[in-house]
Amino acid sequence: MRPKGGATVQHWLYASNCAVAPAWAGPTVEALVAHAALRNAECGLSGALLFTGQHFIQALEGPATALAQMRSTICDDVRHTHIMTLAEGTLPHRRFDGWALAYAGASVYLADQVRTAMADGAPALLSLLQAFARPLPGANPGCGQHRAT
Amino acid sequence: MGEINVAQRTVHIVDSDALHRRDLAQLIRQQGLDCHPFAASADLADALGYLPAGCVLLAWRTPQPPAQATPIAGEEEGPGPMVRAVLSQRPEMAVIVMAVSPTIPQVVQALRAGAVDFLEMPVQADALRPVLEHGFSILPARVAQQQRVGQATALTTQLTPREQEVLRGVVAGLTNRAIAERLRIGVRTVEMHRGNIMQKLQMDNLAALIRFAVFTGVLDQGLDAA
Repeated sequence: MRPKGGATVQHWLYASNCAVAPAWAGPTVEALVAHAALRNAECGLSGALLFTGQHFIQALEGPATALAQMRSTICDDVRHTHIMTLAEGTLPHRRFDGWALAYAGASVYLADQVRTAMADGAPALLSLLQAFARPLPGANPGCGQHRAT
Repeated sequence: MGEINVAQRTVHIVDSDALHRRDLAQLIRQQGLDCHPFAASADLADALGYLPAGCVLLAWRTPQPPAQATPIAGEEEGPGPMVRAVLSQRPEMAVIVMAVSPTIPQVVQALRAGAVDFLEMPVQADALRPVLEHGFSILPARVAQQQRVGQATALTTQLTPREQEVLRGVVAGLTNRAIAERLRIGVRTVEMHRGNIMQKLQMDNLAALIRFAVFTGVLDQGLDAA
């Protein structure tokens, strides 16, 4: 799972607008997460996805080829529009243990925070994603966390 | 999602700060909603059993009175335990945490503990409105889900301990023969128990039985039978 050379980790952080009608957003995200958890584990990608009802924010990291493939799949996905790259490049080491759904819900407060963080740039969004992706101490590691093992 | 009767819209508040609690209750009543203010989580906990389903606004203030629920080992201090304490009694309530200048870890902890939203204190009317709308928009589905769980759980209590053991075995994918060996009973007896289980739970096929078992958490009660 872990890359052999430290310098081989590529990362991509993007934000996009949800193109799915609110009534369908719940089931759509469920399907998306179920699929992504499997796919990302298979191809060695880690990261986190956050969905506020209006925006998707996702951090992905892993081997360059796998990431490039996933990126082109994501860019072709009709379920979102206005894909905006907030950060990309090489990382010295991974920032996420596996791939996880950080949050999916309609919290008004969080949607506001995400909008502010989007204006503040990548570091603010990354710390938000990392705070959600951190495993709960003492909690069942399988709960809500889709680990790429 | 169906319309909710405005008369049923109730907001429960827990806030140790009398002034803020009073202002908040006033804001809520101005919006035509019912409001039950409490000064301490313990008071809410005592009343939770009979309060109508609604939004629960929990003020998280430091220093905190001793937490109602023990925090998860290693979890930093935050609103998580207080949210879980309410949801363990009333899982359908739409819990909203309020805090003065909250940090991202505090917000994340509240949402991961099951809060549906967050508010910054002192709470302003224009921030409160959309958050309560959000809470009440998801409430009917949560209430319906809770009723289904309640009905299903009531059905399971009609099973004898032996029938529950057999059910766990069935859900774990064991054959009748394997269940019989584990429980040291005859295969015909297992068949009889299975028949009774289906009848008591009002199921007519195995797939429905499995869905039911997953739903009510029969699976969570340990698979010693497996």
